[in-house]
Amino acid sequence: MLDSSADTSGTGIGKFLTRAAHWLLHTQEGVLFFIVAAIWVFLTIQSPVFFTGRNIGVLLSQVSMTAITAVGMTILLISGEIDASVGSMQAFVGVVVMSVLNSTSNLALGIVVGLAIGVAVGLINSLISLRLGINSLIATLAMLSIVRGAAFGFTEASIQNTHKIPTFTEIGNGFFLGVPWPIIFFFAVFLIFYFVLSRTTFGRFVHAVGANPEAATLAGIPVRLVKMAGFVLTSVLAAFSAIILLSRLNSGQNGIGAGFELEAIGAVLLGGTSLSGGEGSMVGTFLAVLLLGTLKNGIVLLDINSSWQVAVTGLIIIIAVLLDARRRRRLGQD
Amino acid sequence: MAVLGKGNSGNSVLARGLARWLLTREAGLLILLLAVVVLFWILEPSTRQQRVYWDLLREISPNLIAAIGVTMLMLAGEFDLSIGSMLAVTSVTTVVVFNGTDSMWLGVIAGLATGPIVGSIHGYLVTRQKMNSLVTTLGSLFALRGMVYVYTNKTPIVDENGFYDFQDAYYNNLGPAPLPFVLAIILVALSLIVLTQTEFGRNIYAIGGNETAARVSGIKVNLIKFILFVICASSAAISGMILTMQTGTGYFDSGSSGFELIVIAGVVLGGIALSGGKGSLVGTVLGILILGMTAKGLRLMGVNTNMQLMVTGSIMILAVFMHSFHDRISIFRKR
Repeated sequence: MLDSSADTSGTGIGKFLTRAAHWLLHTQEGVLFFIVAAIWVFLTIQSPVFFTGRNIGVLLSQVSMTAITAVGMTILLISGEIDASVGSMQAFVGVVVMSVLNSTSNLALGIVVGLAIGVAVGLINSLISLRLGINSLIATLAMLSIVRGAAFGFTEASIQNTHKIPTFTEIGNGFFLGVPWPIIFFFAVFLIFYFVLSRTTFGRFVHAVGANPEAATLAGIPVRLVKMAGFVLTSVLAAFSAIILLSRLNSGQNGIGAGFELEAIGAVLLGGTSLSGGEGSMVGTFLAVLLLGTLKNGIVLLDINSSWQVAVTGLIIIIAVLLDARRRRRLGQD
Repeated sequence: MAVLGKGNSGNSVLARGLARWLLTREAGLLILLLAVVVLFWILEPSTRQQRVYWDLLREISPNLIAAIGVTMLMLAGEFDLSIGSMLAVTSVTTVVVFNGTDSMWLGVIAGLATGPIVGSIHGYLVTRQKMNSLVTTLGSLFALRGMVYVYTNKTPIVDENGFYDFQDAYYNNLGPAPLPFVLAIILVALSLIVLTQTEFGRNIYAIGGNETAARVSGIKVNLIKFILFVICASSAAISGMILTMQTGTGYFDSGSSGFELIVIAGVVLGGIALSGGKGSLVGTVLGILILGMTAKGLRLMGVNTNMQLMVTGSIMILAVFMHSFHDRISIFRKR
């Protein structure tokens, strides 16, 4: 991952420091890390509440849904495809799972049904994009409408929690050894797919397929299968996010998740993953999600008009992309 | 086709031309549009009145005008996702200046000026700073909307002077045609001439087709892209102005329910390639009309607003599939 020209010194610590400096100054991850660190320091000074276990727990729980979906989206984008339908999934999975839980009182069944919807929508997305040869942005934008329509077709009002299963409430609100469950899910998903992407054959296939599909085909990589796995993975993780969200809201709402797709895709792009495929970083996605969550949290803590959340999110995206563009140009001139 | 074109008489030339035209994307879209109209004609009696279609054209004008800019930009291989937020920027600016200056014309000028200003910023960031336009304008989608929220505190701004001339411009007709639609058609015609008859237009296609080749052959790629970003944001500003005329208020949430997605859907349905360089403005107009007619027909049938989404989505897939199918046939025919 790191440029070999960076390590010039002999000693272990020196080598580590040069590598760290290179990472900070020359990668999108480094730029993001720098921005996040600066904001964290600023907020710690400005608000006594910010750097407390409780607040950090709230911050990370709030971003866990976007983060889990963004992990799948990172892999999909690296493979050269995109899924815009994840926003409507939040609503559709939510209403269906809640109604299954209400009628069966079986938590495992509800979760299985929710994840199965993820698999089904992922398969439909890959079928439309890969078999019919329709650009995946358009195919999944259409699916965004269709899945939203399905959520509204399923129920005209929101579905309340009448099953009162305690474990269900725990998913989004409970703690394990003092750590909120959403954070555990978020970190587990992140770590698993970080290793899948960087250490497995599948991960290398994803990069190869996105960088050059023709070359990948010639090299005997099952291009369609890899992309299909990406679609299904993204959809299933979106469904997982939806179940956590459902537990936190405690009701299935057919209008929830509008704009969720922009947040998830925005975070992945902000993290330095390329739209054209073949290039991307799971760590970058993690830092980008953290950055967006920190901004929202900070605005609330500093008691700033909440309308600023939207504006600041946009400005930060622009600034991060600007910094990345400048870095690329500087490296190009070197 | 070869069977049709043996003779040299006027009739067979005409038949040949017709046959060739029937195989184009535009013809396919026109047939799809007619099919949608006929379908609703059969299913929903209220669509059998002429009034419905004039209303449709009035309502669809903002989408049409915004789609012109989006089309030109996408032909050059760039995007603008911020057009939905632009509507609110224009709307709020216009009415704020109305109230501040008590002058209708100053308000209109100020509102329209937001287009070139925002467009120049996009153009600068993309052409000078080499930023990816999709992500940059995704950022300004949030930034512009957020600034409008902060400025208005999420309350609509009422036109205190009640400029009726301003609102009439939306509801008045020129002959049978709604004024906004007349404006849209004029802008479409002008843009069509620019795209097909001028060097500027040919350069746009060249950039979208192969940017490096275009640059090497001496086309001022950055300048043209900059102008296109200004055109795109300006056409969104005109759309925002028309929507402001409709309600007479500066609305902070104008265009927030996926305006950019509907317009881009129409443009792509019309056959503009996402990678740039391919497609025509006529296709865009047909694409926007198909989506508009579908939504209106379903609304008249009393179909749940959100079930309309499902149908619109399905039509998009159908149409894009049609394009790719069409491409395959064209390749087949050439062999």
